[in-house]
Amino acid sequence: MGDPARARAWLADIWSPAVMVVASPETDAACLASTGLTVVELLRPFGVIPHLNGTVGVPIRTAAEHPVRLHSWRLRFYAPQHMFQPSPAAADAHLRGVLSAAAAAGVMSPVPDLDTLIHAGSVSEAAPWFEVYRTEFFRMMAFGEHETMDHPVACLLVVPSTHRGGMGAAFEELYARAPLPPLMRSGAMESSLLRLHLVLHDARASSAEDLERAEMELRGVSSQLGSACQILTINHGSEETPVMDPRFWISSMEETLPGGGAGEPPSRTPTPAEGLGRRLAPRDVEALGDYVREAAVRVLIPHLEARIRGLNAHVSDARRGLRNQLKSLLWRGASAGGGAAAAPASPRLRGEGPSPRDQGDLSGARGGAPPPLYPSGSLVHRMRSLADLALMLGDVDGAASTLRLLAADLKADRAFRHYAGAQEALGVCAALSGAPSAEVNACLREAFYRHSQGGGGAAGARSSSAAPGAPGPAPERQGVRYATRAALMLTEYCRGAGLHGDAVWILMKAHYREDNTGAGLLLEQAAHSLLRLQPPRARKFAFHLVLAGLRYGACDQDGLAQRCYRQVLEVYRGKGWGLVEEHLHDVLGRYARELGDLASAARCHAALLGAQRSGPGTQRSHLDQLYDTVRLAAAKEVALPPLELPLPEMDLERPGLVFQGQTWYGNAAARQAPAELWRPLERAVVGDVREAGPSWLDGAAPQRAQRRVPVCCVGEPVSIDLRISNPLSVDLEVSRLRLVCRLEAGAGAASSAPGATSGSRPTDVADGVEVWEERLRLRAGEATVVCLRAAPRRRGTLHLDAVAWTLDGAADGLRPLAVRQPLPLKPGTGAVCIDAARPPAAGFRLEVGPALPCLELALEGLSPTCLAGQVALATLRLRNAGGVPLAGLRLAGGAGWHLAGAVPAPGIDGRALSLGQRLLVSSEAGDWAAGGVTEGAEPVQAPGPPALRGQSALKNLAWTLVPGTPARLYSAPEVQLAPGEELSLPCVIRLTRPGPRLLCIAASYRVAGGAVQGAAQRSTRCAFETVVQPSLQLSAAVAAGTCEPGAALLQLGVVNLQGLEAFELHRPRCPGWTSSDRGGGLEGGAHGDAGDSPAAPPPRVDELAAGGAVTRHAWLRRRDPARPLPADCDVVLPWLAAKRAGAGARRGLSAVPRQLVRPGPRIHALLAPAAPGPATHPGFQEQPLCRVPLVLRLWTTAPAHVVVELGGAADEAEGAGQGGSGTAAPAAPLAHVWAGRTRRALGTLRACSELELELEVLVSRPGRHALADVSLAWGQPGARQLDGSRPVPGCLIEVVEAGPGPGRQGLQ
Amino acid sequence: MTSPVLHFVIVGQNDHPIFEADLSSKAGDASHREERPQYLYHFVLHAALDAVEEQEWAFPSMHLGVVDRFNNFQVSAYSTAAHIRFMLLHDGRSDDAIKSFFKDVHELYLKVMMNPFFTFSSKITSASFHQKLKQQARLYFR
Repeated sequence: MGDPARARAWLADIWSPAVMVVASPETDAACLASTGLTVVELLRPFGVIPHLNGTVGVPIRTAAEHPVRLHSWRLRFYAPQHMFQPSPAAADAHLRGVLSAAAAAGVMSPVPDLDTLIHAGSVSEAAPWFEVYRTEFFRMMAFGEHETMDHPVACLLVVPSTHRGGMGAAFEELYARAPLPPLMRSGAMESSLLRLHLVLHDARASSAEDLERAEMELRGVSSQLGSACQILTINHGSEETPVMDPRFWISSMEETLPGGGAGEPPSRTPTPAEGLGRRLAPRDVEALGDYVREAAVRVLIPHLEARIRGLNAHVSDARRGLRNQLKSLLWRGASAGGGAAAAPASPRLRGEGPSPRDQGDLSGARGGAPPPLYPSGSLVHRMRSLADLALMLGDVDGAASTLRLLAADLKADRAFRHYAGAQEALGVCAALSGAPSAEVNACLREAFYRHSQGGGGAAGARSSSAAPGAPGPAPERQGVRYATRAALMLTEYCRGAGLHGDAVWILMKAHYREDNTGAGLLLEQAAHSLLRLQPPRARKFAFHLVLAGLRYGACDQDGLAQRCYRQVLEVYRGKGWGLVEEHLHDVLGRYARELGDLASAARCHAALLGAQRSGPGTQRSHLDQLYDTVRLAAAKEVALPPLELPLPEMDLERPGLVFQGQTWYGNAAARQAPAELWRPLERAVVGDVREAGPSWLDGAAPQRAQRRVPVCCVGEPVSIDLRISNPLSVDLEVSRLRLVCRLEAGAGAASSAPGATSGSRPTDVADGVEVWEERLRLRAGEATVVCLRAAPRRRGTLHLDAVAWTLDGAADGLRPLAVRQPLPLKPGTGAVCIDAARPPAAGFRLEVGPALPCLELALEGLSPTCLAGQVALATLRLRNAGGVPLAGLRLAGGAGWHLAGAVPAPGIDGRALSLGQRLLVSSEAGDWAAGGVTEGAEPVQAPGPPALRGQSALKNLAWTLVPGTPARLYSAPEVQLAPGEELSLPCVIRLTRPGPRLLCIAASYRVAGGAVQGAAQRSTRCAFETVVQPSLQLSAAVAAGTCEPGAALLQLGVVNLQGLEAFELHRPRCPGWTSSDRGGGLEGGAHGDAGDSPAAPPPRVDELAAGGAVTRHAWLRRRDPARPLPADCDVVLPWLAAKRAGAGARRGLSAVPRQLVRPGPRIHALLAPAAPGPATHPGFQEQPLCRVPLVLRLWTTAPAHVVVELGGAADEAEGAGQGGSGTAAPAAPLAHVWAGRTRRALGTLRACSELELELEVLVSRPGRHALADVSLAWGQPGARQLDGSRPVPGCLIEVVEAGPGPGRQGLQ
Repeated sequence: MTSPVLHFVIVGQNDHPIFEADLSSKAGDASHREERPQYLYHFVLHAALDAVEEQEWAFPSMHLGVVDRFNNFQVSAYSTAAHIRFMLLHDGRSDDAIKSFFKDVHELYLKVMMNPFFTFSSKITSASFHQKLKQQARLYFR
């Protein structure tokens, strides 16, 4: 809410009476020499009379006899030659200077925030320069021709006491020779003024005789001069002690402007070094004040009362009454018919013109200027004088009634500038009288409108400035200035009345036609008025301030423009209006750089980098702008603080904190592995599962009762995984990317940590924390995750506060981590206060515990890809990276990994192991992978080959099973690793399930000797990734014989699932059985090892091409024939993959577990071509039949007499374009015929024997032929019930012609 | 010849613009876009939010009409029940056409809102929404 009394006082102050001070040159010179002040400047401070007649006031006798009391008054003292209005150009230049000076002090102050502005006591607090500008603006607008409030009401004549020749003559001569104001010379100003006579006596420069003589002379002429005649003695004081503060005098001295005017000289003499008023004693100051007060009360006020009565009588005679109303009406009709431009003013209103005294001066003073529209003797002039004088004495009602008459006459006379002036005064009268605000608004808005029109009519085209020799102002500009004055009056009234909406309206209207300086001020005031509305219009406020800033910038008021922009940043920041923020930062950056504030300029340019809408060119321009500013600051040795650069973009709210507590993660894969993988391993090595988070190390945290704080160890790096990206279309070079952290040494921690500093003073970063710096180049649009690390070097509290970097090697950036903090806990209960305010986002805080052992694991030899079943030899390297020795090592790994050389712990039941586990824990896999197992040797439980066994540095390395999981636990209790010591352990890896696999290894250990209290165990997790590719698919069938106990025939189907690689298949093996691919090997006592003897032929090795399939047979015999046949057996097929470029031979074991051993048929037969691939025939025209050799293999599981039948069924050609074997085609001639006898008796075959029978078939046409017409029959002498027969599984052969020929076509 | 001004923005909670589009006929022209004082439009639209809030209490309907003016620009507004504000900066279009346009845009906006992953503060990045909005603008303001 505004202050109406203040607004009324401000408006009433405009109507303060002016007194023309005419001092003789000798008086001015003497006064200036003694006090440093002219007579006018000497009197001015005393013009403000706050308490007239104490608290009672002075009763004013108004024309209408209204009871009015004047409580305070202000007299304005001017030298006559300076009582003119300066030209608009000079005034505008002066006002710009005033604004610059006023703003220079204010713009550097801190910008208040929005709440402060809203709740400020007044608008002037936010823009103090406006008051200064407005005061000067009103002063520049004084002494207008169309109004009389600045016309002098009295003339004070001052002569020195040393004057010789008679005081009366001196006063007369002084008045006659006084340089009159230009308006008085032109006749627009009343020249017959009340004269006040003053004899000024200098007590130091003049003698007492002079004073006595002056008093005598004054008494002589007092009857002639009247009561307004007085002697004033000054300068009773010493030179050394000015009694008054110089600001007392300076406050009443207005600024001068070139050419003078507005009541001030063109220039002022410099202030003497001794100060102003240096010889004035307290009694001199008191005498001056008393003189002005006495003159005001005893002379001026009665004079003005009398003059008002006289003017009122004249106006009443000429304007009031029915007769005069009729006359006015008739005149208006005549004037309207004649046109306004043709008849600017009626002769009746113009009156008789200037007095005869002034007529003589006017011829020379005007210099060709047009005469005033309404001379001083005219009725309009008198009415205006009457109204203004009444207003000066507080007779608001009398003034208003006169002004209404005057306004009507002026409007009819189309003298719109005078009319607008009358409306201004009428509005002020309404405001002072407490009339409704609508009336004040209407009057002042009418005045504003008329002034905005340039004054209109003929009167508006006239210049009101009477500056000597100055060209007349442009009428339009002058009208705009008067319109602005009316707008400012209305603004002040509206603010006082709390009508801020109206204030905004008039200010916005006024700013349109003002020059940039005025428009900027008006817009700024409108903006601040918007904050006074309920509710405050903050957004409009911001927009208006931006407009004001634009106007200020256009008139080189950079400081004010910058301040406007700074004030609105708060309104737009973070709201997502990107273009607006971009504009603000751009303008602010330019202003700051021009004003030399390089730090602010760099901040603004940095904020511009976040603009992502712009193209690559603009983005590069923004970057260069910032770098130029930074370089300029460096050249000027200006220390720029690190900038909060928005580039590159960083996810500072959700960085991944990586620290090593009780659980040490050896690599990133270990962190990403699901907890389900770690839980059994952790349970095995530690004995209990700990969830992620606080651990036993929390004992080092002093604030455990409040909030669990993550704990790290001395010397171990703490890192954050930070996602950074480049949103721009240009590349960015980020260097020195690092964590900004500090280490506070806690008191408790310091006592238990050797070498730690004591006290709570923050430790120097370089001293307490080791920080790693990263460097990377981000291409346009690229995003990546960077691991930033820092390692504390002593115990305490580690704070990770911010991230710092250097952009493109030029600008240093710094941004704080903004991690969302948890809600506080309820004291004592540990529950979360859900209603509490969430703490502000901040960085991380970790308690730094004592140094601990730290086991690093590395697995060497594991390739990124491997084949299913491949057996790989690797080396597990263990290194104690901590600062203390470790002991009590325990390792646990998932399926597919085994430490070579480890022995099973007592009590391990081998039957409980799966085939895969057995393959791993036995040395077979390692031996096979190392190539140390000779072909044909059966699996043994002996340790691995010497090369493998010798690498193990562990003694008594034992393994045991982890219940419920395929994992195994390895214990090496005697092992101790000193800090930095390494240990290599050979291990075997065999992964069977295709797909991406994670080989997890967990280790636990403790501090050797238990140096750290409570540090029971620590664990390390490492995970190694590999991709398992499919290799071989096995299918096995075991057929037990019926005649020989312990013998069986293994039929193994192998499919190569690899589409690229071939496999070399070795003899399949079955644990507990001896195997041989030759049936004869089973005969006799030594048949089990016959195939492995050096004299025996080498074992059969098959080559299985990529994507191919093969069926193999092998004889099996129990190692212990006395024992009954088991129900099942495991089948293992060793293989060797083809060598690849850059890789060695890859060996593997494919297995099928627990194959049932079933009684099989007596004879197994397999028919196959003798040579792989299709048979080639030169041409069926020349040779109609093609001979294809075949082999029929027979395995007997019991002695029998065997007969082979050939050609029992028709075959079917599967040539190109023909259907399958099941098609019901018409009977076709046979495509093949068997060569030789079709029934062959093979005699009696022994049990477990193998026989190969060579056959030949003749084919009559090319193509594929299925040979399914072979059958077997067997019998046993004396046991007819065992006779039987069966068809031999069909065989597919292919015959192709060697070259194309007509005969082939003809056959098809 | 200056092209007509037709700038549309959807303002969500806390004055955050969640969608904006230049719906004038030459909006796709890059040179045309360069010469337009786009930031001035944003200033005017943002400043008009004060007037929108004032008019929301004065008008019972969602369509608030012309709520603010700046020079030759006018700002028409439409406030949904969830206090999402549609604002159109134009140079004197028919209020009936603007009202119909706002209603259709409201329907489009509701369809976007039905996306379970959309929140009040989410920016609308749907190309389909943009395309349909331009079709509506061509329909009503051609």
